[in-house]
Amino acid sequence: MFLKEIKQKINSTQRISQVTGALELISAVKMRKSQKIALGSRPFAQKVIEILKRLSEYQQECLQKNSFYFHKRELKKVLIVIVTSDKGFCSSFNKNILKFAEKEINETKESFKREKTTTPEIEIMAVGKKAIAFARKKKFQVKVEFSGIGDYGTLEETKPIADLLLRYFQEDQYQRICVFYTDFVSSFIQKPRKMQLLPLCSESFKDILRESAFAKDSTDKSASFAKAKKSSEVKLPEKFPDYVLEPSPGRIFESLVPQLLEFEIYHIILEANASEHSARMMAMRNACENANEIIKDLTLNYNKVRQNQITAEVSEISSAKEAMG
Amino acid sequence: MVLNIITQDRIIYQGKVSAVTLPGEKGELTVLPNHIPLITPLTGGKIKVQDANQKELFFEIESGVLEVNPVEMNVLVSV
Repeated sequence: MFLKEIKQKINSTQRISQVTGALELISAVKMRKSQKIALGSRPFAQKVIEILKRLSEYQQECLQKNSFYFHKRELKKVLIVIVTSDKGFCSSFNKNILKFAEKEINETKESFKREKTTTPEIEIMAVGKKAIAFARKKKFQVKVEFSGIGDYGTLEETKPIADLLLRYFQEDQYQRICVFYTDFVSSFIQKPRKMQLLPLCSESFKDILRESAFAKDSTDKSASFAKAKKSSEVKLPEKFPDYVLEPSPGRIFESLVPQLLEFEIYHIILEANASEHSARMMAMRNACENANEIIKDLTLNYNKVRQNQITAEVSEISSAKEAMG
Repeated sequence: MVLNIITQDRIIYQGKVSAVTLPGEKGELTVLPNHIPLITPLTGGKIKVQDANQKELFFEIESGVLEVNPVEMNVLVSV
């Protein structure tokens, strides 16, 4: 009876290891592809942020007149975008970002309370099924939910998100929009990150440029990126004349800023995707290793029990024979 | 002057150049070293790059953005 139980356990563990093994292989392929896309998009994203940063630093007068994207308005409502995966099985990937987001949300609330200003409302835009579930469980006010973005993410898929965010900001529904996402550092390390998307402000860009993975050389695979980094090391002079904006500043802000923001959202999703697949692959690899270890232990146990049984049987027979003889 | 031509998924060109001609919205424009800082949208057309060895290179684009700052020129091309 006991033997049979162990045998069953071994079989079921074997089946689990088969599933996790398959998932590991699938994730490995997806990881490679999504990493390649994410790393490829980094030079563009970096330049986008650099340009937005310089714009926000150099054109202040002009900005006040021409663009509301840079205006800091009185905070009434804050929108928080949380980017997670649709599927589970990726160890602490979702847990980390959700924990980080929750902590930041609570801290923001506290700081508003301390300052005794009117507390702005905080609403959530959940991207990915895990974020949706989280926001519902924690009873946050959820404004919109997005899910079903593919494994690699395309501009067409992420454009609705960017459009929606821009519209909210334009219509003054929200006076600040923050994004929480996971930054892909390497296959082993993914960091949760906060970024203020709107209004555009140079401090937030500085933070991103300093902290984000794309400011550092994370993997060997980012060889093309390392080259880009070199060029960004060229230090700009402290102060240079304001940009000439052709054909007109208004037109630049109208067309350029939304375009750049659209790409930022796309890039964020790519980073999150690369992180998700890397996290899942590592999780599945660990699961496989654990399963194999358990199988090894169980097999040892199985053999021991079987041997015990045989010994017992033999001694029974021989003692019976002795008694008869 | 360093020129970067970057698309959404890779770097197409990176290097020192002596002159670049781009398709601006109001017609062609040529950027030489020490140009004033400039940001302008680009339309479809050909980018002509004259590199440090006076070799000419051409890139076809659909639309994009040009940023010139005192150190480098960035052309962000959307595909």
